[in-house]
Amino acid sequence: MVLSSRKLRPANPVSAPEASMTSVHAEQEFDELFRQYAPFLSHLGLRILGRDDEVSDLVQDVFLVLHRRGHQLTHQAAMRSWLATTAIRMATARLRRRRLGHVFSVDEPAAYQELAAADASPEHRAVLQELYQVLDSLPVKHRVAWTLRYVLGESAQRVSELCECSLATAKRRIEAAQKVITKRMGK
Amino acid sequence: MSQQADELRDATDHINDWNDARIERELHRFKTNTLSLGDQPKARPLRSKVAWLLVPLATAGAFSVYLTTQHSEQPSRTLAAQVDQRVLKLPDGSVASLMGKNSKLSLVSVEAETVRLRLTKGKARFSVAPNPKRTFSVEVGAVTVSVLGTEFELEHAAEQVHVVVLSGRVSVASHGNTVVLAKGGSGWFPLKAPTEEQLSMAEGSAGAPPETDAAEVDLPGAEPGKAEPLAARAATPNNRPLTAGELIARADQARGEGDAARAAKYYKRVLKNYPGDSRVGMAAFMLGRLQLASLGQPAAAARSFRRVQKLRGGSPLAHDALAREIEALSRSGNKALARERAKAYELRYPGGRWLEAVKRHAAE
Repeated sequence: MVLSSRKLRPANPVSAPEASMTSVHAEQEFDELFRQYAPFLSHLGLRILGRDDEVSDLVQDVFLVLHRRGHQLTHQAAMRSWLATTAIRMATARLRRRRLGHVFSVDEPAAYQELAAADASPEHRAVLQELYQVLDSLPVKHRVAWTLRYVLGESAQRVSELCECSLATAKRRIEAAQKVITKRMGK
Repeated sequence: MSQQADELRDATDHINDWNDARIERELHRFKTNTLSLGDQPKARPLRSKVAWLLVPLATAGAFSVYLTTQHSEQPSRTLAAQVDQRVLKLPDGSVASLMGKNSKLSLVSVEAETVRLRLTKGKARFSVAPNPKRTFSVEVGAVTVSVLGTEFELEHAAEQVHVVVLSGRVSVASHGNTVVLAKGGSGWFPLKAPTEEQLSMAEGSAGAPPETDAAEVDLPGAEPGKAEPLAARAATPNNRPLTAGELIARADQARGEGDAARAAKYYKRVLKNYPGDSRVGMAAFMLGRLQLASLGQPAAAARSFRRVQKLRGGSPLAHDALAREIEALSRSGNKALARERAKAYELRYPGGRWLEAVKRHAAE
C-alpha cells in the first residue's frame, strides 16, 4: 500500500459576512451545547459534590474549558465522555480543597437536606444529610468512586474510566467506601 | 447492604435536579462571565496521567510500541505497564488516544519526515500537530489515512474503516484510490477491495456514464470538486443515511466554502429527516438566514423563522427568529403580515434588543 503524499489544499478563505455568520452560529451552537449538556453535568455534580452552589461553579468551569477548546468535540459520544471526565476531575479537586477547609476549620458545614427536591419526604432528607456527612469523612477518591458506582449507577469498569484509574483500583476504592458507609449508616 | 442500598438510592433519587429555568439562568451567567474577558481566572490545565513516550525523531528503522485498552496478562515491554494505557504522546505534540474497549494501536516508525501508526483493533482519536514537513499516517489494514495537521477519529469496524474528520483535512488511500475529507466529513472504506459486482452496482446507481477512467461519483462528505471514487462509494454500507450531526457538519462546511445552496439543502434534510432532533431549531434558523441573506428567498426565510418559533417557543433563539421573520416578511413585500408580527414582537419583548430594527422593517 502506497502512502499518499499528496499535499493538502489550504482551507478556502471565509468572507467577512460569512465570518460574522459563522461567529453568530458558533455562539448559538454553543448555547445549544450548554442547554443540551448542562442538565447532565449538574446531575453528576449534585451527586458528587452535594452542594448546589459548588455545582453551579463546576458547570461554569467545565463549559469555560469547552468554550476555550472551541468545542471541537462534535461527536456526541466523545462530548459526553469528555464532559464527564472533566467534571469529575474538577469535582475531585473541589472536594480536596473542601477537606482542607475542614482541617483548618474554614469550611462551613453544609445543610445537605437542602439537596432534596420539594417532594422529598423527611426520611429522604434525613438520609441525604447523613449520607453526605459520611461521604465528607471519606478520602475523596473513595467518595467519588462510590458515588459514581452506587448513586449514579455506573459499572465498575466505567468508574475506572471516569476516575482514570485501573479497574482494580476503582473496585478497591468503592469497597473501602462501602465498608464505612455500611458501618456508619447501617441499622 | 441491599436494603440500605435501596434506601440510599431512593433518597438520592429525590435530589433536586436543575430545571429548564435554572439552565437558562446558568447559561446567562456563563455568557455574562465569558463576555467580560480578563475577569475570569484561567481554566486550570487538565491534569492527566499520560505517560510521556520519549521517542527520538532521528531514530532509524522501525520499532513497535503497543497500546491497548485490554488488560495484559503479562507485563509488557511498553506502555501497558503504565497507569494510563490509553494515550500516546509524541514529541511533536501529536496525541493518539484509544477509545472504547479492546482497541489496539501500534507505533510503526517515527522519523523526522514521517510518523507511521497502525490501528489493528477498535477505535482511536488522533490530534496531529501541524507540520508541513512531516507526514503523519495511520494504517488500518489496507486503508491508510495521512495528514499534515488535523484531528480525526478512526474506527476499525469488521470489514471496514470509519474515518471522521474533526478538524483540518485528511487524505485516505484505499485500494489505489485516494479521497480527501475535510472537517465534518466522514466515510466508510473497505478493508478488502470491492468486487466487480459491487463496482457495477454503484456505477448503475450513479446514473450518467463515467467521464473518467476512475468513474467518480459526487457524494456528500467529499471535498467539493474532488469526487469520491466508486470504490469508496461501493463501500458505504447499505447507503447508510447521514445522521443529523453529519448533515449539520456538511452544511457548516458548505457555508464556510461559500456554497449557500448546498448548505441550505443539508439543513432542509435535517428538518425533513430528523424533526425530533434537538438541533432542528438551530438548523431552521440557519436555513432562514441563508435564504434571506444569500439565496434571495425572503418568503421562504420567513417560513423558516416561523418554524423556529414553533419549535423553540420561549427561547432566546425564538426571539431572534421573530425579529428575522419580520425582516424577511418586509423584504418579501408582505407588509401587512410584517406589521402584525412586529406588534407581536413589541408585546412579547417590550425591551427586546431588536425592537428598533423591528419597527423600522415594519414601517418600510
